[in-house]
Amino acid sequence: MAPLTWRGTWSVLSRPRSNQRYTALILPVVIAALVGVPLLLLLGELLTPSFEVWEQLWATTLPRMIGNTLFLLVAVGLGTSGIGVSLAWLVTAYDFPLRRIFDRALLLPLAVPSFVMGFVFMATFDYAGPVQTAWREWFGRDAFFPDIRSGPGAALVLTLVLYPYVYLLARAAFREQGATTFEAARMMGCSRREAFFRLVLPMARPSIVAGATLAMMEAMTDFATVRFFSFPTLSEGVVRVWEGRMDRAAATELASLLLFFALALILLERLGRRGARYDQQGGRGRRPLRVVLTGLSRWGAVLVCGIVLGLAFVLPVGQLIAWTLAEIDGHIPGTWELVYGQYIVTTVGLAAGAAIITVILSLVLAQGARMAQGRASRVIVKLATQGYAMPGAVVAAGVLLSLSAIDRILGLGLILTGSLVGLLYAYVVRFMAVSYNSVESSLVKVKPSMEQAARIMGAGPLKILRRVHAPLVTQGLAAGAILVFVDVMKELPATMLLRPFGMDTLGIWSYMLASEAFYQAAALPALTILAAGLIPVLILMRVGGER
Amino acid sequence: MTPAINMNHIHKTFGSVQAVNDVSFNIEPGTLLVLLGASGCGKTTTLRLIAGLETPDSGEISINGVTVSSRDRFVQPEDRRLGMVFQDYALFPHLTAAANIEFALNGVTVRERQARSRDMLELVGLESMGNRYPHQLSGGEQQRIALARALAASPGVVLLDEPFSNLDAALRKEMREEVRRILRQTGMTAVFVTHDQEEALSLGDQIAVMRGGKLQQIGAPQDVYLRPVNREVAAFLGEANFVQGIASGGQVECALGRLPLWVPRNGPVEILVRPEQIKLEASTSKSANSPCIEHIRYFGHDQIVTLALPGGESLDCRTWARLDLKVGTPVKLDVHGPVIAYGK
Repeated sequence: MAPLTWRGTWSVLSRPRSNQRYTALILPVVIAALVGVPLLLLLGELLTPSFEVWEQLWATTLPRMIGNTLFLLVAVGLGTSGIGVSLAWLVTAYDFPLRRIFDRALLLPLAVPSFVMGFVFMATFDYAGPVQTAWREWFGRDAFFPDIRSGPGAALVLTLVLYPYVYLLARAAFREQGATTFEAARMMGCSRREAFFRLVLPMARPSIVAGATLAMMEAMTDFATVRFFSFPTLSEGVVRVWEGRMDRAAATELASLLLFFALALILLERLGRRGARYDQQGGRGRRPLRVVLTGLSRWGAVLVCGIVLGLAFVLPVGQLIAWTLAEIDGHIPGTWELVYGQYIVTTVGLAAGAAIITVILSLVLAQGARMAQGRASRVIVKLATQGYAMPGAVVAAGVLLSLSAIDRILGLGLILTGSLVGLLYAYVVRFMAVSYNSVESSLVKVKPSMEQAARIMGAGPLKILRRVHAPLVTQGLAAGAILVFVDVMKELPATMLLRPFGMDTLGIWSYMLASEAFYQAAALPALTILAAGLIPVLILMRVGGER
Repeated sequence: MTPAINMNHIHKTFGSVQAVNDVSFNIEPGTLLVLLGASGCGKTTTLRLIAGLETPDSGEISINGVTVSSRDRFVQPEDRRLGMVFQDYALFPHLTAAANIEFALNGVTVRERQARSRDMLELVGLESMGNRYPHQLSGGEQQRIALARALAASPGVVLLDEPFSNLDAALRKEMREEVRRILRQTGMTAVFVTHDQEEALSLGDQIAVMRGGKLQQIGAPQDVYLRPVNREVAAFLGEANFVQGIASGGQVECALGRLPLWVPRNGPVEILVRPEQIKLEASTSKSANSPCIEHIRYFGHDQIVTLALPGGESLDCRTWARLDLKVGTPVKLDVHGPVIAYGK
């Protein structure tokens, strides 16, 4: 037959024959297994509960943890939807002073790690904090002030850092809705208000549900904020049982329950978006004329945006900067820079390592799926990208289960389990979806016809790779790497559970200091993470802003 | 003369679908051949087989006398010296228009490359657009750049895969003229795939009509339009009336009277009468035997008049947009030229 020099590896170019399809899937299957095994093992754990452990847990703190987790999920879901949707509609449909700035700036809280927001709020609004002190000075010693160390307090903090997920998706949905739908509704006698509730909101529902689900997933993975606020949830429970009693069995059982919650949430999201494919045809690019707000409502809008942005971004950033300056002022020169430098090296090394590994794996996965097409490859990709929905504690427990199984099989003692491998493994599982999405979407830009066009013009595989693929894909790879990098820097629970002995990241360091109420010392590492987190948010602001 | 392309008993299946079934044809150098057919007829697969983007199951393909696909030989697409314009143009979004064209030019100096790309831009009338990126160009301009890129390396043959399908109707007509002019000017052999019969007839030197993976007919536009080999080809190429009749030798007797045949036949047949082949005259004498106007579709530049024939058949005629014809009026009709008959 035809001389198949490099045709086999390049099968995108022609319709792949069936045997090529299967070879293309080998690597994706390995990756999916790597990512899927920890979650499946933990699922197995959930299906084979150990009753003594559960009995003991149930008798002590379990009911409270479950209740708190549910409360937090509901509160954060409602809170982020409320704030996110209102703000998105405000900046889309109305015009008021500073609107263009708020339109983008309202995304900034995305850069603030939730535990940082948590300890800033603690310091600011707790009994001894400046706000309550001032309150008592004005209104007397016994003036009522809501207790910030509570479920609602924790929910408020998480809502403030997580609402941008809903804001971002709802704003995109509103913008895409085009003018015609809205105008048709107005012609049929709907007021703006009615048109919003009967048309705009239901049409944006899939996006809102997706955003709120993302926010709830983040809320579920948090253990540090709820710990500051003395509001133990399941995530917090896994970490507590693990560190405190070193009781891996109980921690694993708890993690499997958390997995159950995560799966339920995914299912609910599916239901919430069911039957909803509202693709907009036409009318795009033109949106309803903005209503120019006048009088009181004009400044009311500014005030609302200002309060949210002030609480969720200006306050934490300002406070962190003030603390850092004070800390630098009072510290003993020489010692502290060294420590800080070490943490930075460790954190950047970990984050970069995880980012590179994850991006390479996503590239292999995406290219394989692209060559093979078909249902099998879709299932494989699904499996390989499930980690994003799983709380960090769940991923950690799953990784631990699979690594100790491998250690046992290979008779290695606990070599893998206690090493960096475990931590990197967990990062890959958790953040695969993040990089996969940007890698895949950049790969889509290289249409098969472009490769074919290049070949017909006489370009060999190397030239095609160098001049067509590389320039088109690099940006996506870089974006994926940045996202994973920043996510790893912010990650707390999996790092907490799996870090090798004596190895701390900026996040862990900051968290440890903050949990001992050394806020001033915790500020610099927190600020560093926040600054890194700003990179993707700034990119997002540029891309998502108005033209 | 060696044909520019020779297809010899080509077969290609995808799974259980016979995409191309025993297709053979020759294309003479300098000819523009249009592959015409409904979607799924195998025309695009045929083009991709020529390009080397698909491997035939059996059969041989040679380009300018060189065998490129056969039982024991397969020349890779990049070694076939072809130019191709894709349906989605496949312009490289990260390269300027000029750089896209230069991409096609291998093994020449930078200076030659730039000169050639300038010439090509001039040929397609976009001298000033060389520095633009594809997204800064309109659909028609992207189309021209894609054509310029395909022609840049002076390929042996240019292949065009439904290149106008993303353009609106007005632009499509303009581009059709433009492409025709450019291909004529360069004297290039070209294979053009389309499902639009009007496009095919106005553009092609030769038309190859495909259906269900098989080549039905190949010939000059006038030939395939007036003398299609079967009813299906006739109906696909334009509006067609089929009228029952009895043929004997070079003539046929039918509801339209006695008509000459292109090809002599005998026995009961169906004849093809194109609507514009019929000349209408409002009849003054109303006899029971004269055809009557049943329905009129008015288009401005012309109109389609549907007649009820005495035998119960109906007949579509195209006339200029005159006003003397009314529904219910009896008419006299006259058929131009010979007709083609199909056996029943």
